[in-house]
Amino acid sequence: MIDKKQVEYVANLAKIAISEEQAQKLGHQMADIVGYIDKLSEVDVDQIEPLRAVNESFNVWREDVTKRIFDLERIKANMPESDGDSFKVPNVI
Amino acid sequence: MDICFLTACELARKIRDEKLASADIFQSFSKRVLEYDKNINSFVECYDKPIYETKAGSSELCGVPIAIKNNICIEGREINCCSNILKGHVSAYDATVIKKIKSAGLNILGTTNMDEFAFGSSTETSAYGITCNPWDITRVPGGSSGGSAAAVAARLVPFALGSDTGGSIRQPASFCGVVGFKPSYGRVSRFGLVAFGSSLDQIGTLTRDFSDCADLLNIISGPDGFDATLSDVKVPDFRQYLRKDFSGLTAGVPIEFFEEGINPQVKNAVEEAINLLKDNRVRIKPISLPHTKYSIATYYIIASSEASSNLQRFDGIRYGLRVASNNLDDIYKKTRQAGFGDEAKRRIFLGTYSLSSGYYDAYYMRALKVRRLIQEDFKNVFDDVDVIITPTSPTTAFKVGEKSDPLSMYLSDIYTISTNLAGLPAVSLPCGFDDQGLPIGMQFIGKSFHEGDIIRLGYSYQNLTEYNRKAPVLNYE
Repeated sequence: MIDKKQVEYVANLAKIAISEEQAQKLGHQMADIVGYIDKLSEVDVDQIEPLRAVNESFNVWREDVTKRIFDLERIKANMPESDGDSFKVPNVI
Repeated sequence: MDICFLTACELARKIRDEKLASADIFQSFSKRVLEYDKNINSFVECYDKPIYETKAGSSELCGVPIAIKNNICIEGREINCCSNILKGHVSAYDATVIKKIKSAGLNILGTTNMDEFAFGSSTETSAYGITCNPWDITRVPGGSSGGSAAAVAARLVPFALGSDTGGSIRQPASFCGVVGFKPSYGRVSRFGLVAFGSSLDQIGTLTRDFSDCADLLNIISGPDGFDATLSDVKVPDFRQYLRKDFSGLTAGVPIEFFEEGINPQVKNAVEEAINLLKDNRVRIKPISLPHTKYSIATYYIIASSEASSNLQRFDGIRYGLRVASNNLDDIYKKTRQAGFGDEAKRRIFLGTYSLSSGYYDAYYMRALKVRRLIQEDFKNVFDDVDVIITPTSPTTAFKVGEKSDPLSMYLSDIYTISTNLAGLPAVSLPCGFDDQGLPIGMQFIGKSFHEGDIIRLGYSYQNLTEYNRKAPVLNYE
């Protein structure tokens, strides 16, 4: 079971504000889904290495050089709030 | 002759022979979208004229229109993943596949509808409203690339690009009666594809047949220096596999994919297709993929964990929506509350939960281990077979609103998910119709970087049957 407190904890980690009503609904749905995914606990994985990438057999290297591939004006056009070439945020200190 | 009923290859030939002009082709499709898409809603945006100049003769497909799923960046165009959090976002650059498409001389007709951030199997979670299935507009087109699949099926565009994280190209292709191809992980660059599950995502094609599929794969495949997961395995000319030739192919049929939960009409159609292949001397072998029953649980942990991490960037600071506040934490929380839809929030929650301290080992780490077992299942059977044949989806297209609880929606992806977990190439192709006249799809899965085998089998099957040549009748009034 996923209680209200747990939902609020996850909401804070995920940085999403949720209403009381949403918290309750999400709690129920999450409980359903987590109940289902719990079936993985029946698999014996003791000797199994985690698979982090499907193509483990190769690695791709490149020179560490900088490239300018984006147009600054286009980037700025998408900023919700900007000042010159910077995006603006409220005072954090 | 109706221009819009020609395939991409047929159109390209007519352009080369100077029987048709690419500008007229573009206008014909644009007009058809205007006329019919009000009932289907497959396009988010359809351009009224080409958005860039193309050079004649740049490729086999020069001058042919194409539609792009709304999560692949096109410079100077609005790309928003059908999410309110990105509404108004204009791409600052071209995705690699878009660069390749432009230099091949294809004309982008517009962007197509999708589940928000590709989270879904029905195209019902888009901020632009649902897309309807052109075969029956009371039904879903599948998802998340439902707009691309519906547009191709309705002949609103000859072909389209989609993305596939757990079946998002193949399942809508199955529901709409078109060919949906997901290449091997590492075959096509994802640079410029908005990330969902980075260890699973792959760009692929939605076409009417395998000739168009092979030509389009030729254009979009290969390394670009921007996606480090791309393999240096040589990209073959996929056209060489377009030959009616079943010789030497052994196909495995996994028993687990024909057991509980499958609609009997789907089962019959796929079994009939298998019999037809057998009659044409494809060796058929029963196989077992014993960890199939864990694939959905494994997938939803891994995909949601990766999604929750990838979607952290949508925080109202650098682009997209911002809900104003004097407090930075409030900007994050309120922007994300207002900008993400319900399904996006659920995935972020599930992912954040699976990755959080105390649950990490039980969920995320365990899922990575089961993922290895799922991949090993495939490796084991691929010692004996060249391809695997399965249904694409347990059912045909379901009704809009039918799957209202999230878990039942997740369970509909059962047959497509494991190939993403293993990184394998797979394709869905039409193999029949049910008693409601809805398309049925079957799936061919190939060995990693052996797309050629499933193209050859698909092309050969397609030459024996008529299913992929049927078009829905669009009289909805």
